[in-house]
Amino acid sequence: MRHMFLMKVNKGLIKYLIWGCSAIFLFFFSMSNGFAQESEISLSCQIPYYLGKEKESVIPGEQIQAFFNVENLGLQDKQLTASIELPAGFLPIHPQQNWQVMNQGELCQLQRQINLSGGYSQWFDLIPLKVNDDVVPGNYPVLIRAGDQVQRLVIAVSGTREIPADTAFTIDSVVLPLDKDGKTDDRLNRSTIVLRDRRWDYYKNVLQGKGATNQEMEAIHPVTHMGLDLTNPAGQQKLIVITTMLLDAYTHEPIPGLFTPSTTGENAEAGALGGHENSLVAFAALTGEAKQRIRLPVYADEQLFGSGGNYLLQVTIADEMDSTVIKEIPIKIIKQDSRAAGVVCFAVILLAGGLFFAACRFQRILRTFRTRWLVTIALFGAAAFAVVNVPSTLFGELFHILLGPFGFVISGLFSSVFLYMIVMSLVILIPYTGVIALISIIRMLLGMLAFGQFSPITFLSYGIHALFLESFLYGSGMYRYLQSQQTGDKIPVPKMALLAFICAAADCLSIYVSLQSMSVLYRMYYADWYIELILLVNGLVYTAIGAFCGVLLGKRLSKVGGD
Amino acid sequence: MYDRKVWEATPDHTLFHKLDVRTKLMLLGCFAIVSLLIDSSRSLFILFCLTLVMHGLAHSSLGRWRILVLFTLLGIWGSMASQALFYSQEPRSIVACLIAPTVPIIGKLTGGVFVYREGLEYGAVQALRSGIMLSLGLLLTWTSDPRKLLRSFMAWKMPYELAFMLITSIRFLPVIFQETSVVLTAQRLRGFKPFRTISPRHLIQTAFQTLFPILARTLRRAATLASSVESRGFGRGFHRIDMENWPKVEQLFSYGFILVIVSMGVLKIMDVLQFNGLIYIPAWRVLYDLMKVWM
Repeated sequence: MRHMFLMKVNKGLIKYLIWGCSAIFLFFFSMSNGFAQESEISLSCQIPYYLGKEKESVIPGEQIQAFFNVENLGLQDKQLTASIELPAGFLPIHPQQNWQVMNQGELCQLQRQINLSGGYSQWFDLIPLKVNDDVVPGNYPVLIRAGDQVQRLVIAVSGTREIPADTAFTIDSVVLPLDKDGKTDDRLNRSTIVLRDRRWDYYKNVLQGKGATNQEMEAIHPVTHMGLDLTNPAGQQKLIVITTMLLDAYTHEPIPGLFTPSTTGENAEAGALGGHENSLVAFAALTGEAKQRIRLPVYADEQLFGSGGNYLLQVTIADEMDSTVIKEIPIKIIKQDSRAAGVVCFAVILLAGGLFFAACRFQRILRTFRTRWLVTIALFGAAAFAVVNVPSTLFGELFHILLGPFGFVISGLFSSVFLYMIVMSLVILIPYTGVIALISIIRMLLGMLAFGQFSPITFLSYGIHALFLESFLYGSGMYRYLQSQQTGDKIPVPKMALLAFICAAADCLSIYVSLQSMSVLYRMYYADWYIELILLVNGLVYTAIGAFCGVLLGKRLSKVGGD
Repeated sequence: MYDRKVWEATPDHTLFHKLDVRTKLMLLGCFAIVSLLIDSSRSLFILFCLTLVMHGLAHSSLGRWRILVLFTLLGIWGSMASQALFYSQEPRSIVACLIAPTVPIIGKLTGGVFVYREGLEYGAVQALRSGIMLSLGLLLTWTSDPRKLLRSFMAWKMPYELAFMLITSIRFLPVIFQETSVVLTAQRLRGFKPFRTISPRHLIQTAFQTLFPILARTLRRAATLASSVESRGFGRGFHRIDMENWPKVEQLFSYGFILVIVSMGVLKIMDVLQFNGLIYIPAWRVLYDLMKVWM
């Protein structure tokens, strides 16, 4: 019974609960529709609006910003009137293009029409204001309207201002290099930009398995970062355009090198930053803080720099209202050139390997040489020294004076034609492995003893020359072929051409190594065209002629006193 | 052309004449490395002046000073001339235009050849490296008996055959110079004008005519000399002449100097590593700063 009774009571309660909940739901549903209709427009305003550290009050004479934001949350398009009523002592700084300014006694009202489309739309604006110098500290109400929405704000004015509001901001210093977190690195010199060598990027990518990549797009990365330390005594807040350029230290002419990403390659002249070639352009905001550091990435095209050097870095800050602020600092750009260092390292390793190999076989080779051959090599070495080294040492620089960069045309006659005539004639007379190494050693030692030519470059150039020439002659089988020749036998022209080609190739390589070692060890610069011309004339043409004549000379000498 | 008194070593009693050849060779090797390690123009100049002071202490004769100055100036001029043309650092100011970029072929090939003022200065500074080596090399040559030099090479395991070849070439070098002079004189008497024309055929003919008699006589001399030395037992075993003892003080000095050079090399490597962001030791900051100024 009791159970039945309880069931009846529960059913009744459940029924009442359902009805009650339905009524509450309907009530809130109707209420929410009503709220929705009321709050389709959302209005917010922030005065003073700060980009940086928030402040609770403003100072008389200060420039401030009013941030006005309206959103349409409804489905219908809205046409509204937005207005701001400023209290006495607060005025817009510049003539407002879109706002209608109405002065009502001491009060100032800014008004404008705004259209907000349905669905969701937003409209905002930043209005620069100035607090008059004579405003008494206190709280000042501001009335903001957007359609039916009304908002009241209070601006607190406190203290007094010593610095005039129109005091311009200044660039205290330009700090670079910085890392991406804005930290300075003790390892690097101040005001120095180090550019990396991009020439090996393709090979690096191939080795790393990245395959074909767009090198230009890959190159768009900041080489470093710089910091602009600004002093903003008036606490100005605005958007600024920062343009950074490189200038010639003497003429102050702009130098290409820095660039703004998206202005290169296929996307040139495209995007918001388009059209700023040869300069680094960035937008930034002055937050109103008395001291502010703006950090910017620095993009530089390594290919546009010769070998780096000293430049002026000009930083220009501009906005549409005030005059531009310019700061110039001397900077040093270092361009890393790993090609010459790579060539020298490779040559050193090759020479070390060659020397190790030669050291293992040297005694065995020497034992195969007759005494007469040793004397002949020594005397030919002395002759080569007298005919090649001495004139080159004494007059080589004179040819520089007389013929400028083309002095090698004359000095090459000695160092290529005469030298290869002597060396090849010796090879014809004594066609055994080691003969070139021995004559090179004699020439080098004589140079050391007579002219004091002790230097790593001397070892490297003589060593590489001997190594390549010996290897090529041995590898091509020319030694074996010449050993099989009799004194009266003529050497066919194709064989002579092969010999000339071998000598030219070896000479080109050794000249190239010598020039690169001069670049690395003696820090000399050589233009690419100069290196190519020397390789072509001295290395290829003169050496081939010298070797060709040397074979003929050797054949004639073999009749005089050959074995 | 070859004045022995000026070119070859002469005995004297100066410090550099008394020093063991091995010490001088060590000194030369160390200086070669130091001059390559140093970038500072100030340090290079001090080193170069030091080598000149050494020549002063070695009582180098006026003729030798003339040669030293001539060689050094020519070397400096050569570097200045090449760097004046190829200097690629900024800023650079053009002093003269040798080939305008508008000149057909060569102008386009080179992009114009200009003389840059900064290149002249840079070349002069960089030439100090070769100047240091040249000056010290000549000091070694002028204060060391070639036989002692050869002995020190041999003491450092130079093969006997190589030493024999070197001494043979040194002995016959003046003879070859004289022979070259005789050949050129004889050819001049026959109306030989080497640079009468710049025709390649003429130049090659000239080279042929000059070299053939020199080498032919060299070859005959080699045959005679070889017979001579073989008849005296060359190649049947030999008695190596022992080197005099290397004075302990000089040895210590040489090893100390090598230690300094190795330390400098390590510092330079560490500087390169820190510059490239590989290894940086903050405690070495003072050393890094010192290196920036002096190395």
